[in-house]
Amino acid sequence: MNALSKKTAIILARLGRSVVPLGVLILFVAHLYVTLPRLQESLGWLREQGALSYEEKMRIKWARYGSYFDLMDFVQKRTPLGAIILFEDGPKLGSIDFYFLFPRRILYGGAEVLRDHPEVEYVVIEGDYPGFPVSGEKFMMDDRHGLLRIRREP
Amino acid sequence: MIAVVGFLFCMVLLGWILLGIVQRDLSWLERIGLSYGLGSGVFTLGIFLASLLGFSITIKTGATVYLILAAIGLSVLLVSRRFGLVANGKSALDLPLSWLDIALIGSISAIVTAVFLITGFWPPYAWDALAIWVFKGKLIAAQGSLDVSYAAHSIYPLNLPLQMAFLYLLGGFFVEAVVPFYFLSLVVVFYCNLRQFVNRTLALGATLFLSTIPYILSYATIGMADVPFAFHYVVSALYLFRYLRESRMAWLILSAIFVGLGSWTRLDGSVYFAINLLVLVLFRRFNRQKFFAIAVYGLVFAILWSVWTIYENQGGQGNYLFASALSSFKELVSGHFEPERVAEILEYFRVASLPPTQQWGILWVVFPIVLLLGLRRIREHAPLLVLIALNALGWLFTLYATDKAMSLGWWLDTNLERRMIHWAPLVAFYLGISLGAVDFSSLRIRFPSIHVGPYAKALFAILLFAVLPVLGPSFFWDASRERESVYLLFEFDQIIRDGILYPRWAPDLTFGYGYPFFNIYGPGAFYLSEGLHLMGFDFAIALKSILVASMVLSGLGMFGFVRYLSGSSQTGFLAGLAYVYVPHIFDVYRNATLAVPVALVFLPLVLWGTREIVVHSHIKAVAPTALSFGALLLTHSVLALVFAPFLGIGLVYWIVRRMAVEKRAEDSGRKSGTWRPVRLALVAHVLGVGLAAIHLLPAALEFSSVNIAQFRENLRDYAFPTPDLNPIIHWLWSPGYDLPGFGITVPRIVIASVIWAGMIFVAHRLRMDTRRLSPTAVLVGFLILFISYPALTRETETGLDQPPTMTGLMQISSSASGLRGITAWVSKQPDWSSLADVYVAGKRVKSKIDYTEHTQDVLWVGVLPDGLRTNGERVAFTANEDNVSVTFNVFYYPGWHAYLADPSRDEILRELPITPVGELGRIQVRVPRGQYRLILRFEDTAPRAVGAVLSALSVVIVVAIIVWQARKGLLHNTISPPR
Repeated sequence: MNALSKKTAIILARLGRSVVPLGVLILFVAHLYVTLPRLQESLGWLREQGALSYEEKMRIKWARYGSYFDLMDFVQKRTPLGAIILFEDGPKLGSIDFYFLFPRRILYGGAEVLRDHPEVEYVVIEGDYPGFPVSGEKFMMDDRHGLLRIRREP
Repeated sequence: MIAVVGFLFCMVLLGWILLGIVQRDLSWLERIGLSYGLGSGVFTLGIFLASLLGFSITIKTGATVYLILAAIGLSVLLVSRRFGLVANGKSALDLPLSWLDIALIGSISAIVTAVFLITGFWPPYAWDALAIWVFKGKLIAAQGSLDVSYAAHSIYPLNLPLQMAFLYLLGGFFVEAVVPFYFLSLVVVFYCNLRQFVNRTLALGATLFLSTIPYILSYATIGMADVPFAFHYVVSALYLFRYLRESRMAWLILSAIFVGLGSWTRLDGSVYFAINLLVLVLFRRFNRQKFFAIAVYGLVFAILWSVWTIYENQGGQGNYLFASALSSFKELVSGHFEPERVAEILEYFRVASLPPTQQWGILWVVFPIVLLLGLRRIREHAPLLVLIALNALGWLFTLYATDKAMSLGWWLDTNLERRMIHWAPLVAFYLGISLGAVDFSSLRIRFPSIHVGPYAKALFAILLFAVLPVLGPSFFWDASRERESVYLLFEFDQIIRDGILYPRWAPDLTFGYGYPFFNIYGPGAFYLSEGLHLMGFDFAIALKSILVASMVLSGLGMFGFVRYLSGSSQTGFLAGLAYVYVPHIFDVYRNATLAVPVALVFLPLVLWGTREIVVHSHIKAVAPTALSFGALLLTHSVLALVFAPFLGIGLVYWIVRRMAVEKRAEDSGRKSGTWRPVRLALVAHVLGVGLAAIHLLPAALEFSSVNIAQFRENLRDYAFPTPDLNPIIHWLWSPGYDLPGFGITVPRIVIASVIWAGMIFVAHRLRMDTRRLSPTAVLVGFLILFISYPALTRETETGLDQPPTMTGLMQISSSASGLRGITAWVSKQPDWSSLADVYVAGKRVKSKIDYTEHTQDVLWVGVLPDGLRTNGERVAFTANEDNVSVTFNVFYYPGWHAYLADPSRDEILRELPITPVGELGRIQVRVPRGQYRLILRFEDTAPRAVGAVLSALSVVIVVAIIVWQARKGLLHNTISPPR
């Protein structure tokens, strides 16, 4: 083996040893290139919107559920802690309703539930609900959502 | 904030004390990493038991339980005289640190800090956090009891909610802080364990890799239990792995404790325990010690697992998740397997998780590569690999067994990736230890050992300028080339996805009539681009990536070859520079298809290998030379043809030189071996041709079956270029005249090649000094850059407006000659087609049969599900007359066959003769009266079949040569270490 071919062999050996770490490095950089912008994006909120209130943050995160958070927030602020509230039939987002309104009690249903539970103090207005007569004081959040404080006859 | 920090500190302190009982011989860092998980888990279990005993869950109860647990821990330590408040293990960081290590630690710390900041910034908002974990904490804190019936999934264990409950009791500020703390613990324990196997830099690098996986990062910030559970499970798996290597009982107990605490964190902990137990059984020798180990493992787990399980069962709720899994398991063993369900899961994974641009980064793409790298240590790493494999199977089964009341799609959307978080860190761990085993762990040492000198680095840097035009949003080629290449890749992708691994017929080209594009053009560059596309890159990015890599690699390849040839780095530098920039001057890249730059990578490699074989009889150069030559032929056979004379001249020159050397040797009485290198070179080149035979044979023998006239049209253009002031200058700088049949400006390549050869010769003769920068090198380099500058800075074309679609393909086929080739049976180039109308209307073509030929009374044709594929069509028909013609809107080409089949299934009754009809040479068959199925298929002709066999044989021979050489240790041991 003369000097040149030995040199080739050494170059090949070095190349072999170098290709793998170089590949690893390139892949690692590619990984960071893909992943770090996501982290940067998350941190961007802190930098640009650091002064957001709890309500504003929740409104951003729950935007895809429309006015759901606003309604919960509205009900929570307009009702006392121990209030019993009637919602349209069926929990909208499962236990999330309870999370926002706890320790208030929540019932779901229509006129029959209201009749069977005289302890209900509030009825939440959502669109056409309640479609049955409820006498009480009305507080509207917007033109579709609001709250009825029931006024029962003595 | 102080309350949160105080709570976290107290948990760490409790864990620190308790760890002293189990294992004192840990580094302080590892002990801190484990302490929080252990301390908080034991504390919440204590609170849980206290509540069962009737104590209300309050700060006072918490403090009492805490003090009792700490006192018990300290007492045990005192009694056993193992007062382990001081960590005795060696430091995991091994001070002092290098700058690289400091940078890595800084990066990891920054990411962990970011996770805490992001978690703290947002209030709890994720559905699971609100409905389950945080809400339960809120309920427990408010009621002082374990009644969590308002929350969702009340059967889930309470480790996390109880921790959050105490943070509520302490003021309710930042209750989700426990989740990022688990993330921190996971990162620390991961590093400390990996450090046991690899050096510090690699361990830190792998830890940084883990901590930047977006999915894990994201779940560390939203208050869900997946990252805490991942901490528990990964810790248990890592200590089990260490136990199987070191047989230290303490590791086994730690593993059992953490998998037990995992079952106190999420309901499916027992599944993960079963996986660990199976690995323990598989990898311990069958003796008494093994039974003891299994008994200890099971006992420790059972104690921790039973607390919640008994309580939950007494509540009468039952584990519905377990019931669903059991039901699916019963279905499986009774033979009711649903393969389509598994296929749907894997397809979802392929689309949502596999691409490196998605939420897992490059984790899943790199895993198989590293698996190959780590093959030599596979036995050593087997327990970890089996853990990963069983977890993957468990993951698949869990998804398969999900409640069928909900659609599988819903489960995949909400659970598929989340469940991978629990064990995916083990994959990152395996990447770390495998890379460590490859023996390049010391990056500080190895990277300088690349040592290709300043010229190689300078060349690399300058080459980047050559690829700059490609890196922007615009495309590098002219408009027609860009679209052609992207749409050809789009078509290639369609065929591959249809299950045809070696595409030949492109069914959608030429307005849907089809064209055997991949039968006559080398598919190498398309395979590379398709590989990237399947990994998640879009078509344009995949093409650009291959183009960039090709240009850089071809420059570096030429550098290596010429440096080897001349012994001068300066000469290599100039040759590499010229090799990439001269084609710029001649506009080769811009006018050529993707195949040209890719093929240019292999030219210097083929020359290098050939010379090595002929001059030095290096047998180990045979396989690389064959592979390079095969790759060149598969990528661009016409360029290989142009290159052949140069290769031939080089071959003859080196043989003559070798003969002269041998002659001198013979004269001095030594034995001659002149013909051995010639034979070896022949073997290498024949093998190269053999590798590419799958393409070469049909391309050569069936080329006449495409319309040659379409190429002659363009040749005429070339022969008579537009006159100008100076025809030669005009020709050099004009956009060029293509030969669409070849996709290359062949004469320009020839001129460029002559210039390369001349430069190499001159540089070789000059014998440039490698030790310092010579003025000649600077001058020539500058000259190359100067004359290529106008070409480099030419305005690039606008990129694609939208991803390729069938509609787009039809629309641009009118202007892109490469997309509307015709076969030899077509006498008139079509301008449009009825199929194109369907595509442009945004509809799916279900059949290529010309329905306008007959009324339904004569012939009724019904399409079948999946009847139209990229390599043919199946239809059902009823003919009310005999010998009725059926015409397909498909160009005829050798390989098309039509069959008459049974009406109810695809059993072939007989072959039907095909006739090309009309000026479009469309396929027509005549069918008999009656009800049948008609099958049209594009099949292999004799050259295709023989080519495929030859290629397969050549692959086997090349692999055998490589294995044989590897066994002899030629690749590793006979090379002197570089000085």
